[in-house]
Amino acid sequence: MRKNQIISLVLLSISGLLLFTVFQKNKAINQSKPSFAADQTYRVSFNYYLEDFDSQDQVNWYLPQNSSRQQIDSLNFPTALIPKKDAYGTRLRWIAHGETQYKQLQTSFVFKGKAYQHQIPENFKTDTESATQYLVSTPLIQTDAPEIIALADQISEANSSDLLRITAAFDRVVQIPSAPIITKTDALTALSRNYASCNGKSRLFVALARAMGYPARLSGGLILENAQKRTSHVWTELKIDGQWIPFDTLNGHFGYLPANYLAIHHGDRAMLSHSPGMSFDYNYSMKQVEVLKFLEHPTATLSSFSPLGLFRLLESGVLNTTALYLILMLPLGGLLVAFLRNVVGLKTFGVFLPVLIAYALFETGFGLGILLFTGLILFVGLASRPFQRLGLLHTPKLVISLTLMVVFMLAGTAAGLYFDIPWLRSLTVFPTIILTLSAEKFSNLIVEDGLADASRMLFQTLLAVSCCYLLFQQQLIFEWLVVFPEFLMLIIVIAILLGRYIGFRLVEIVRFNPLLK
Amino acid sequence: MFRFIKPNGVMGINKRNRTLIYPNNQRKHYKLADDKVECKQILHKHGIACAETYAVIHKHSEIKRSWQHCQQYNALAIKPANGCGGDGILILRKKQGQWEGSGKVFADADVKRHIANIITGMYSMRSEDRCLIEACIVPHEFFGSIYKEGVPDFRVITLKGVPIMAMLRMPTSKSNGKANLHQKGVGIGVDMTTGKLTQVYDGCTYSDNHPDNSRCVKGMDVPYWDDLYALSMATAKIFPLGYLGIDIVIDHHLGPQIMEVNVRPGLGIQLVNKMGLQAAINAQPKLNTL
Repeated sequence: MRKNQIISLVLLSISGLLLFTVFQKNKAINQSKPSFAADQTYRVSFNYYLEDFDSQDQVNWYLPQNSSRQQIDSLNFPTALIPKKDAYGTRLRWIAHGETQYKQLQTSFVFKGKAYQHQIPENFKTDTESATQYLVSTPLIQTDAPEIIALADQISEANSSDLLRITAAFDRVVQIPSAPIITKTDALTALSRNYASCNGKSRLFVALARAMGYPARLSGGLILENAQKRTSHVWTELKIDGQWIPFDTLNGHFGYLPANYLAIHHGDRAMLSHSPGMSFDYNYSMKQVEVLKFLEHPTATLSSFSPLGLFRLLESGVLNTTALYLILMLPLGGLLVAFLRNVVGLKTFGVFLPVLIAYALFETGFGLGILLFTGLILFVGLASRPFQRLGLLHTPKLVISLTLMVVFMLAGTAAGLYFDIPWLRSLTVFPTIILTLSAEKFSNLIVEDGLADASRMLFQTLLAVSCCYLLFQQQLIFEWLVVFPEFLMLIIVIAILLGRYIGFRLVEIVRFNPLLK
Repeated sequence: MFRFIKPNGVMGINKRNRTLIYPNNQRKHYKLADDKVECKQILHKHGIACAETYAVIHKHSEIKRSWQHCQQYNALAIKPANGCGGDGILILRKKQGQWEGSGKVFADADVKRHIANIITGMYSMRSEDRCLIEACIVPHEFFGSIYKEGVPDFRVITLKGVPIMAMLRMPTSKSNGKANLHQKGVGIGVDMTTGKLTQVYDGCTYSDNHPDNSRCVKGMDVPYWDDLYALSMATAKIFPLGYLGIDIVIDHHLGPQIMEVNVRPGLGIQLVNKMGLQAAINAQPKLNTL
């Protein structure tokens, strides 16, 4: 017994030390944690390509700024340019010096954004004194045009509160059919044509708001997605109780901006302009970055806390989050299965089958996945029965079951496609070979111990699958493992302790109950 | 875990594996017990009482000659060396010059095909196997006095050569001729010191009689008990395996005979004897150093 105690002591102190240091590191990370919790993160770059320009030709563009709903990190733009604030935002201006045939200008940054729904009060103060510039009529936003005034008056009279008025004006503009018009559309044209793109609709909404006495302005930027594109986007902002609140009349966002809206500038101004006469091309390339909560920190900061962290693997793109998730959670799932087998006493098909099935359930959803898994086992288990009577050798017999499994999966998927049954199409996410072995085992068990025993084992397997699925739902565990992969050592320690457990299994307490009283 | 449970000397699978099987049975020696041919070679070499081996067939080319050699006997058992769950075992008796088994007549070609199937590994989950042909044991009338059908046997657990627990396994009308507890057979406890039967356990309840009749078995003397006890000790000594489940049948003429040796005997015997294995070990002065 002394040897056992020494081993236990050593293992416990190793894990204690591990837990303590990880706890300390985690505390340090949390204390320096940036308060900005982003919903979505993108790597964005503006790419401009210039040719045939003369000295003093210009390119002007705006840079995104931090706000309560977006954060801009790792901003890079051509050196020697100095950002300047103007009435519309923060502007960069590139001026050609001398003649060069070709020039490429790139601005890149990491965007972190959150979706935010503003609560708009029933009635609000309109600060008309300091906001006169947001109430005036302009050539493109014809607030004083009779048609605009008439519509604004009609909306104002029909509605009793500020909120109802802007809601009615918003709804009026939203219902205008949208059309992909690239050129600038003014408010009056949008109203009279009754179709417009984002900029026409936004100008109309600004004009109506201003005509009703609410300070309003255009706001512009990009809708981020995994793509390379040239289209920018324009929406509207109303100043409500001293705060600029967003409204998107093209996509129907009322007092709300989705997390993937990159706001760049405001006011009736293009986010990018250049001298006429030069040959100019551009695109916006953007890529969503998968981010863990911990990884809100810059990698450098995290490395200083946890030099072993796996975030570099993620950042490099060698492994995406899903692949890393599957591989990191595997030992943990195995540990859970070991616990269920040796401490609870569950009997399962295949030692690690429950872990793999739990992974497959991510694709299908829990309930449906359990049904599909049971269906596959039962079908292949039963379909291979006739071949059992032929007295074939074991391995060729397995090949038949494997083929039946593949045929069944493909037929199901094809039927799902043909009859448009989405759930049938997910059959191929299951691990084919291991599932086949389980089906084979199931069918053998029916022969050896009867259907009741075989079903009991199937049920226990499903129980283990459910436990694994629950464990794998814990995103936080995964993030801890990414930042502190040393936890994998803890799994070994726990497995050693579990491997030395000589107490009863839970089911044995029931089995030996007559002797334990 | 489960500290609130008092084990009362009962062993679970975890404890059996870690304290009995792993330290006493080396994996490389498992095949000496698991493989019926190797097992019988060892038994014969040491003169341990067991069914006489008529033939061991390794290759298809030997089938004809071996089967010819077996024609001199009146009853025999054909077994795969590595069969599972009793699969592939064929008991044949000669009646009016013809071989009969499980109520059917077996022509020479049928028997040879069965042997060929065994050799190709059909019953053993592997690509090849050997076929063992041995004498057919005639059960002692003691077994018939409890229940007439099927193949009953004794199971003796030995630890480091010392028999620590035993039971008699009997088939029932529900067990299809098999004596295993989990195949609806019953276990009957044996008092190790007196060699008397104790209680009958059917997997749920205890009684004093076999479930298919009302004759009381409690207190019955096991015939040849001392020989049986000595035979299991002698068998345990010749295997390099410290923890064994030895299956013994009493032959009408020859007395106790070894049927099989198991390296991973089950734990149900504790329920049959109403006693934990650890308690039984602790009761053996020779084993108290464990």
